[in-house]
Order: sequence, then C-alpha cells, then structure tokens
Amino acid sequence: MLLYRKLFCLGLFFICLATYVFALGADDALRISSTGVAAQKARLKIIAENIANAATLKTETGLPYQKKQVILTNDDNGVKVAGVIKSQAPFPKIYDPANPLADKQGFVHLPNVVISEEMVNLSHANLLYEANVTAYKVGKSVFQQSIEILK
Amino acid sequence: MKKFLFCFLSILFISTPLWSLETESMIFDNTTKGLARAVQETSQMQAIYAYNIANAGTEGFKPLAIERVNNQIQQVTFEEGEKEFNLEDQMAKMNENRLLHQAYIRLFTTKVAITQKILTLGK
Repeated sequence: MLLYRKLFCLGLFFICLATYVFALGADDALRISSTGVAAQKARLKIIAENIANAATLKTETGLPYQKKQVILTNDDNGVKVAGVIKSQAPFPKIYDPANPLADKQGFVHLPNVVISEEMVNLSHANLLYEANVTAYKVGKSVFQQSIEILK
Repeated sequence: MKKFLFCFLSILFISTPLWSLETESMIFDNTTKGLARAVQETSQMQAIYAYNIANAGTEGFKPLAIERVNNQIQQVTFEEGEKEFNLEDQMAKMNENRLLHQAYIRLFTTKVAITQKILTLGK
C-alpha cells in the first residue's frame, strides 16, 4: 500500500515538473514562429500585388500603380506588420502620344514597380517563410518531446 | 541511569549510517532538478531563436543575445554593435538547441525509469 502511495506521489511530482517545464518557453516558440509566418505571408501578398499591377497605368487616384512595401516591427509576441507604405519613387515614362493616357507632352507614366526587384523580394520572403516554418516544426518537436515526459 | 545512557548512545551509534544517508536525495536529487532546468532552458532558447528568425525581415533588427554565467541563462539582451543578422547561424544554433533538448529529455526519461526501479525494488 505504501509503495503505491509512493509511486502515486512520484508520478504526481513528475507530472507537475513536466507541466512546469513545457509551460515555459515551448509554446512561446510556436506563437513567435506563427507571427513570423503570418508576417512573411503578408509580404508575399504585397509582392504578388506589385507584380500583378506592374502594368496598371491608371488607378482610382488617377496615377499609375504605386509600388507597395510592408513595414515589419518586432514586438513581445514576435513580429507584426506595422503598415503598408506606398513607394515615392518617380514614375518612369515613355513617349507614346497615341496612348489615350498620354499627357500633354505625349508621355505615358508607368508604375514604379521594378519586376527584377520584386522577384528578388519574392525570393527573400519565400526563404524567410520557409525559415519560420522550419522554426515552427522544431518548436513543435520540442513541445512534443516535453509531452513525452508525461508518458 | 548509566544503563539508559549506554543504550541511548548505542542506538545513536548504530543508527548513524541510516540517518546520515539522505534518503530523500536518492529520489529527488540534483540530477532531476538540473535536468528539469536544462529542459526548461532549452525551451526558452527555442523561443529566443524563433524570435530572431521571425524578425529576420525586420529592418534594423538586432538579434537577441544570451548571456550565460556558470552555464545558466543570466540575461537576454539585444545584440549591440554593427554585427549583421545571420539567418543561417540562427538556424544552426536552433538545430543544435533541439538536439540538446532531445538529449535532456532522454536523460530525464532514463532518470524516471531508474527511480521507478528503485521504488519497485527492481521488479
């Protein structure tokens, strides 16, 4: 009887210890990695929007499409999207007097999106997305192994 | 009176090895506490690496650096200086940390198995 009581106490002790161990840190890692994945996803979305609108000559404002950029900031939970800003880079122009969107001098203003730049940004965002997914997977395995203590 | 004193001293002498043996520490010794702390620390380290990786795309971000004293996490601060953020370095450190965590868990499980064996008298 005493042996069973001892075993019960020991089991309870290890369960408490294990709960304490994985209550600290492991779930934080998962939450932080998920914010990273979400941030990179937001970046990928904006890059896709930029590429899709690389030939949009007129928007609601009357101007050609302006390149958008995601601003990320770090906070206690990991990373967050602080905002999306529009590029103030000058619009390139081509001489095309026949175009109905041409100005008085016959120039057509093009969007300030540089496809090669966007492709580089896309590749970078994709790489960081993958890095965050890997970090999430590692965090998950750490969490799972901590749970193994309970078995 | 002399007889009583002699008996008392004899019992005390005979029982010395019994009470000097810290029977509690055989089960809840420093190994368990140390391993629990190590597992907890590696979990925290995982969170730190995840934080650094999540902020890899943040402009001007300085990664979190860990200060260790006597192999224990003392302070977590943002790195200073012109050192650039290195994603590969962080990934490698994270994997190293994962392996360490795995090893600690295995040791912890072994320790539990040993304690179980002690309690069940090897049955």
